[in-house]
Amino acid sequence: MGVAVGIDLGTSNTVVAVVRDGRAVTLADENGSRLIPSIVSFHPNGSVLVGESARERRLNDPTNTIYSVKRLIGRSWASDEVQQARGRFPFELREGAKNSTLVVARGETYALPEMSAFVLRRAKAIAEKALGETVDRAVVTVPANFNDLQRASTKVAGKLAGLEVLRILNEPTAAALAYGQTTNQNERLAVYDLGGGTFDITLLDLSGNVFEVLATAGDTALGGDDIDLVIADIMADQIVRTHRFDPRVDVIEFAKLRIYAEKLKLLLSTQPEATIEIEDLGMGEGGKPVTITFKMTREDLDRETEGMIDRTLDVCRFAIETVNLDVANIDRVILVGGPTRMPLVQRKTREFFAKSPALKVNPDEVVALGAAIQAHVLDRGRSKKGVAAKIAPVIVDSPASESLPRISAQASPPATPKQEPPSPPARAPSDAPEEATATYNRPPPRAPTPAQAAPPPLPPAAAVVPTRIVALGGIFPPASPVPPPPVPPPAAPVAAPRSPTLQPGFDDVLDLPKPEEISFSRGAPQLTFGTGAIPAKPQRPPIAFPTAPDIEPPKPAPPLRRPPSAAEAFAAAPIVHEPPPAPRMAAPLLIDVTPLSLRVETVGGFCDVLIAANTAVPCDRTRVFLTAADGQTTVIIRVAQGESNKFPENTFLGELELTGLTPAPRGETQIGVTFEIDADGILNVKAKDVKSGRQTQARLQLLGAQTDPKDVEEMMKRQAQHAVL
Amino acid sequence: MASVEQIRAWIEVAKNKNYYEILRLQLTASDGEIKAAFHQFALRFHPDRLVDDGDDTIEVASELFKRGVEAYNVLCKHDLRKRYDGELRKGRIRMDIDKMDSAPPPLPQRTLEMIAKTPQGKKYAAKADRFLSIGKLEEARVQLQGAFQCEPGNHELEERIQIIYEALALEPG
Repeated sequence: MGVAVGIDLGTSNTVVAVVRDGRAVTLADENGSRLIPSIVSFHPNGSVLVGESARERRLNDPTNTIYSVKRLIGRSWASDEVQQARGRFPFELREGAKNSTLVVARGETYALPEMSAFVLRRAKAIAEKALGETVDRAVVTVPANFNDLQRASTKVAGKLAGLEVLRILNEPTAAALAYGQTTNQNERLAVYDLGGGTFDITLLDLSGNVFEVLATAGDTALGGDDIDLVIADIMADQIVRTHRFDPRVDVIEFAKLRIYAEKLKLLLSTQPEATIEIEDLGMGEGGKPVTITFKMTREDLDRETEGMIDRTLDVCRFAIETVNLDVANIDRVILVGGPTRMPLVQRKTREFFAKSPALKVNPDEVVALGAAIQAHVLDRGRSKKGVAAKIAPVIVDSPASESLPRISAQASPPATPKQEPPSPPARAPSDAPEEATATYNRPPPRAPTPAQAAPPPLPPAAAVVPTRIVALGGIFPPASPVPPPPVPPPAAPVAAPRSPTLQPGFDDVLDLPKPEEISFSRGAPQLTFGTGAIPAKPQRPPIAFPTAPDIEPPKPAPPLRRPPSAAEAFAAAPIVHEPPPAPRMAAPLLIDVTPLSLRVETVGGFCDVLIAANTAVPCDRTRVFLTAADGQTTVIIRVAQGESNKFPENTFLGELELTGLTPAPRGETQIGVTFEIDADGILNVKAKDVKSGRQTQARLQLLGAQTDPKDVEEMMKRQAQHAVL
Repeated sequence: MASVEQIRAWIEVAKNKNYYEILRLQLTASDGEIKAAFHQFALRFHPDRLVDDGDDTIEVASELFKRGVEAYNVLCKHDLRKRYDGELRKGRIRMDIDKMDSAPPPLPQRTLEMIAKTPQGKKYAAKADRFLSIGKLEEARVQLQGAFQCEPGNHELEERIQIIYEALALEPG
C-alpha cells in the first residue's frame, strides 16, 4: 500500500501535498515548481502533456489544449456554463449521452472527468517521484459549493487516475484545517476562497480540535478566469478602435488575448501600472498578424472588476446572515486562491470584515496542505495496522533535511533522480506565482523533531469527568403524550475555560501586520508549513496527530443480544459537556456541511426541501412516497439541489426511479426513500416498501453524469491508452 | 471505542429518544451547551474518528451520527427548536419524520393497454389494468398472459408479468 496525499485540483493550478514527519508539505516537480497548471494538451505523437508543458501549447495548439475543465465538470450540456464556454474556449465541446458534455481533441472525444484524471495522474506522478513511493490514495478538494454531480464526477476522475479517493473535501474547509494547525485558539473563521473559476465563503468554528463548518455559500461561476475575461474584453475594445478588427469573433485569437490578460492581471497585483506586448495577433482573413502594445493601470482594473468583487461580498453577507451572525462575530479572515493577491480583493475584504486577513497562509498552497492533513487523518487507521509500515525504506537523497528544523528551506529538487545534480530551483516562468519556500525563522513549534516525536502526554485524567445521566431515559419516556416537566439531570460539570496556551515565541507570527504591510511578496511571513525539501525520514512518520484523549466508555455488560434498556444503553455512554483542553494537534475532526438544499419535485413545479443547506454531513432524511395511480409499479422522483422553491430554478440532478413495486390500488403502496448525503457530499439513495419492509430497487439516474460503472470502465480503457507527460 | 454491537444497540435506543436525549441535553440547554454536546457526540461517533476501527464500525457509527446531526440541526436553530418543543409536547420525538403528506409523484406509469400493441392484446391488457386497479393480481395475471400470447415479442409486457409474479409470491396464502 502506498502513500495518501492531498490534492488541490484547481481550475487553473493543481497542487499536491503530503504529511511527512508531522508536517504538511507541498511537493515540487523536477523543475521545482509546486503549481501544476491544470492544462492538458494532446500532442500529435499521442502523448498527453499536463502542466507547464501543456500551458506552453495553449498558444500554438489551442484546439487540442484543454483548460478550465473544472468550470464544466458535472454540468449538463444544456447548462448555461457549458453553452457559454462553447463560445469562449478554442477547443471543441460536444454533446454526449445522457445530456453530458464531451471534449474533442485530436479527433477523439473524452468525458470531462477524463481531463481531470489526466491532471490528477500528473499530480500523482510528481508526488511519487518526490516521495519515491507509490501514491494510491488521495483526498481531493472541490469548491465548497460544488453540487452532487460535480463531486461525483471529480470522484470518478480520481478513480480514473488510479487513486482511491479517501474524501472529496471542500477547499475552504481544507484551508481552515491547515490554518488551524498554526493556532490553538478557539476562533470563528471566515475563509474567503476566490479561485480560478469559483468563489466560496465558508464560516467555521474552531474549538478544541473540532472544526465545525457553520455555513458555506458560493458561486461556482465566478473566479480569476472572469477577471481575465474582463481585461481581454478591454483589450479587444482597444483593438477594435485601433485596428478595426474585433478579436472576439475569432475564438482562438480571443483565447490568446485571455492569456495575455492573465499576465497583465498578475503584473498589476504588484505594480500600479503595466504594459504588455500582444504578439502575433491574427487579424482575420487576409489580415497580417500584428503586435499590439497594451497598457493598463491598476485603477482601471479595479474599476472594471469592482462589481465582480462586490458580488463575492454579497455572497459573504448572505452566508453570515443564514447563520444569524454579524460580521463582528468573525474573529479571523483567511484569503485563499491566487486572485486574492489582487490588491482590490484585499482592500475590499478588509473593509467588509473590518479586519485584516490572516497572512500566514499561502493562498496557492494552503488548500493542498489541508487536504494532506485530512488524508493523513483518514489514513491513520490503515497505517496503524502496519500495512504501510512494511514499505521498504526509500532513498531520499536529501542530506540537508536531516537537521530539522530547516531555516528557509529551499525548494529542493525531487528526491529520486540522481542523474541530475541538485540544480538551484529553476524559476518557473515569470508569471508563475511567487516562490513557495518556507520562510519561518524558527522551528515550527508543533513540528515534532525526531526527539519529540512521542505524543504529548495526555491531559490528566481528571480533566475528563465522565458524568452519567442514568435516569434521563426513564424520566422522560418519549412516547408519553404529555411529557412531565423536565427534571434537571445532575448538574453538568462545567469545564474550566480553555486557557490560551499559545506556544512561546509563536505570538509574533500570529500577530496581524498593519494594513499597509499586507502583501504577499516574497519573504513576508507566509506559511508555517514547510514547503521545502522532503524530510529524509523514509519510514512512516510518527503519528503526527496523537489521538485525542479518548472518552472511553466504561466497559458495559457482556455483548448485548437484545436492545438494551434505555437506561442501560445510556448509562454505558459517558457524558462530557466540555471538551477537555486538548492540544490542537490531536487529530482534527472536520464537521463539514452540504452546501445546497436537496429538493424533490412536488406538484405544480414546486419542490420540498429534504435536506437543508448547511446541514452537517453525513446526514440522511427518509421520506414516504405514495403511489398515485392504481396498479402503479414504477415511481419516478425528480431530484434537484438549490435554494429556490420553484423546482426548475434549481440544479436538476436527475431522476430517482423506484421499480418493481407491488401493484396495488393507488395510495396503498408506501415507499420509504432514504436520501443520504455522505461525507463526500455525494447523494446516495435507498428505498424500502414500508409495509413489507422489502428493499425496493432504486436507481438514481444522474443528469449528464458519467459515473455509471460501464462509462467509467470505458474511460479507464482510454486512460490506459495515453501516457501522461 | 465502542463495539459495533454497542453502537447498533444505541441506534435502536436512539429511535425512541428525543433530540435532547440523543445529545444528552436538558430541555433548557443553552446554545453553547447544545454546540458543545454536539461536538462531544461528533468526537465519539463521527465516522472519521473511527478510521482505526474498520469499515463495519464506520458504517454503523455513521448511522448513529446522522441521528445526532438530525437532532443538532433542529436544536441549534431557534425557530426549529421552538417548533420541535411544541411537537415534543405532543409526544412526537422526530421532526417532520412521520409526515406522509408528500404529494405523490407525477404518474409516469404507462397502462398495460398502452403497452400492448395489437388490438386483441389491448383488449386483454385493458382488462388486466382494471383488475390491477382493484388489487386482483391473479386475475390481472391471467389477462396479461392472454395479451402476451397475442404479441409474444413484447418485452415490456413480459416484464410486467414478471412483476406481477413477484408480487403474487409475496402475497400471503
